[in-house]
Amino acid sequence: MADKLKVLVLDDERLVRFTISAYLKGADFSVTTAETPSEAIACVRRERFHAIVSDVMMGDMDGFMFRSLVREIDETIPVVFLTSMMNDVGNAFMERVTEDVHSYYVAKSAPRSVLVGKLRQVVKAYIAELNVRSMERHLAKDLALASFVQKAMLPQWVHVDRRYSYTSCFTPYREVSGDLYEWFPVSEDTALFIGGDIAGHGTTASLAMTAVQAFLKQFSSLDEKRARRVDRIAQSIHSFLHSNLRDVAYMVATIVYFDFKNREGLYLNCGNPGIMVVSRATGEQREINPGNLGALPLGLFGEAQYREEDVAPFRIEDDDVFVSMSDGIYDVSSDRDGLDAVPRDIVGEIISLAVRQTEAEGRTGLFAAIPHRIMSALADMGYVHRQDDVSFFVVGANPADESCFLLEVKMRPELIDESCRKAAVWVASRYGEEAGVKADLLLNEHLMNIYRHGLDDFGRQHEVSVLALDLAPDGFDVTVWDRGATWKDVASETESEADARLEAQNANLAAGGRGRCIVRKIADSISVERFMNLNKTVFRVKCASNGAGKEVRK
Amino acid sequence: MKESVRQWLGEQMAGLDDATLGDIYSEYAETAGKLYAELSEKRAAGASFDDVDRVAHTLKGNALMVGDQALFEAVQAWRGAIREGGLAAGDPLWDAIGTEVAAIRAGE
Repeated sequence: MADKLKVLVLDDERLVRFTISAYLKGADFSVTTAETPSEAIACVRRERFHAIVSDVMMGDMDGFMFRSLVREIDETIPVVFLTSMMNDVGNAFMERVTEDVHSYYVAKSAPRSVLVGKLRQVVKAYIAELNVRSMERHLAKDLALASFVQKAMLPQWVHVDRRYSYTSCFTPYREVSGDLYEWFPVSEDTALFIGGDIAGHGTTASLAMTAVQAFLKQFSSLDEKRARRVDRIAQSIHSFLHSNLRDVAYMVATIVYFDFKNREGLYLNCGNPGIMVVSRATGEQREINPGNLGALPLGLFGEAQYREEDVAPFRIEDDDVFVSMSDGIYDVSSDRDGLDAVPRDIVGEIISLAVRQTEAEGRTGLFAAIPHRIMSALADMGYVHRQDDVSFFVVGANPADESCFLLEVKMRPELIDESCRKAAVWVASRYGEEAGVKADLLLNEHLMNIYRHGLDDFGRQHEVSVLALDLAPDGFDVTVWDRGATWKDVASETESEADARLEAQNANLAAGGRGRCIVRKIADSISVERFMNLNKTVFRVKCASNGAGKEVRK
Repeated sequence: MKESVRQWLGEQMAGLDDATLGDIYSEYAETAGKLYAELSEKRAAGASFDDVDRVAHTLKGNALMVGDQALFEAVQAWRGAIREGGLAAGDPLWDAIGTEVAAIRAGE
């Protein structure tokens, strides 16, 4: 009984319901009958059918109107019109039937076996479609989980350390990616970078990426001596790939050891596009590896050896910005088929421009927006279609500039509080207690009650934003870099409008959104820019300096 | 049971028992009688084309459901005539419908 196909028969004529019902039951269908469309709709809402057999001409509502009501409940259930109208109306009737791809017809004069055959055929197609949809839903769920796992395994997108800062941007081609990168601080002044791109893209590459990323975590605890041996690290990754993922995946990679104290580094390139070194001051590019040293991709040839003599030493200049990217950037195109890919020299120019723009903003420009500026600029030029995963990792030494205070903020409430207090102390030491309190309140409201509100649970645990506090001639600027929702409209809101909204919201303290009004009232001006999914919000707070600050940036 | 209908039901509804086939025929005959009576009243009252056509359409549809080709053709011809020339234009064809309905009732 459970396996029988369930059919709903709608006809205002008892004879038709009785006849069709008797015949279909004889053909092993389970049949429910309805005399009116509203009765039939109630059945569809209540029960799941494999098909509906409906009359066309009925009293208050014709079969086509009934079908449109059914479609509001079920977009694909087959509706078979049983009609004697075909002798009368011909093409017009046919057009109305076929305007819905899941509708069919059978003439009342046709042999009954035709109705049964048609029902079996359309139900088979319907069940197949349901199965495909169910499979698609499962795949989408699996893919979302895979994407979540991949992102969770990557380092945080931005990090401000004592001597350096880095930022990254990870844009899979479709949900999951074969790109990976890791940043392991080795000591206060040194760090190890590993960037790679598994050959191909899609599920295979992303599965391999996740395995490799897990393998790389062992390098998080290397001492300086071991971290300097980037050739041995390459050999180790190569062995892992070749032993475990041979014939499935190999990887191009760049492994770099940075020593920001001694301003030097070690660079090993294994078939990757490599790293661009761009001067913050001029935007000019410098070769990190002028001798073109390098080695084979990792995991490709079992006998490959990664040697110390393939490693290129390099200098870290004060204004160097190191830009690592996957080769997917060169496949970004203006057309869906990828025929009009972005020219390589344009990519180079855009990177130089993004670095110069950052420099023009002073230290508050950070590096945070460089990858996002690059992708935004390409999109502005019409290069919006990606054919491969694209990822960026940008790192550079922090310039010595005491007129600015940089702070990384993790989005957990206790850490937000702590960061806001640090910022308040910095401001108070230069502008007095009242200014410090303003800074504390402004940042707390922005981070806790605006930005954090817009994050999902994962974001609230893992998301990071960066604050830059900068001295200005008539007060101080607070720049916040975050990946939350955009809120451009607040910048154009007048203070009196903010007053009115705040008053209304104060009347109901349980309502959200007070943070926006409060920051609008504290800040004398607010500007908001967005680069891809990255927000840059600058709050200017006017106040007089107490002279404790050093040189004020003009 | 009208012979042509018995034959059609026997072929098309193979597998159904005689009692069910008998029930189907009874329902058909009873409904055909009611619809013919309703149609006669509307015709006598000079009802609109749409009004009589809706009843005629149902009568024709029921005939198709049980394979009663003779009634189907009689109603179809009458509908064609009144659509073209109004109710009066169907008069010469009206009796054929009555004859077929009577034959159906007689077969009950």
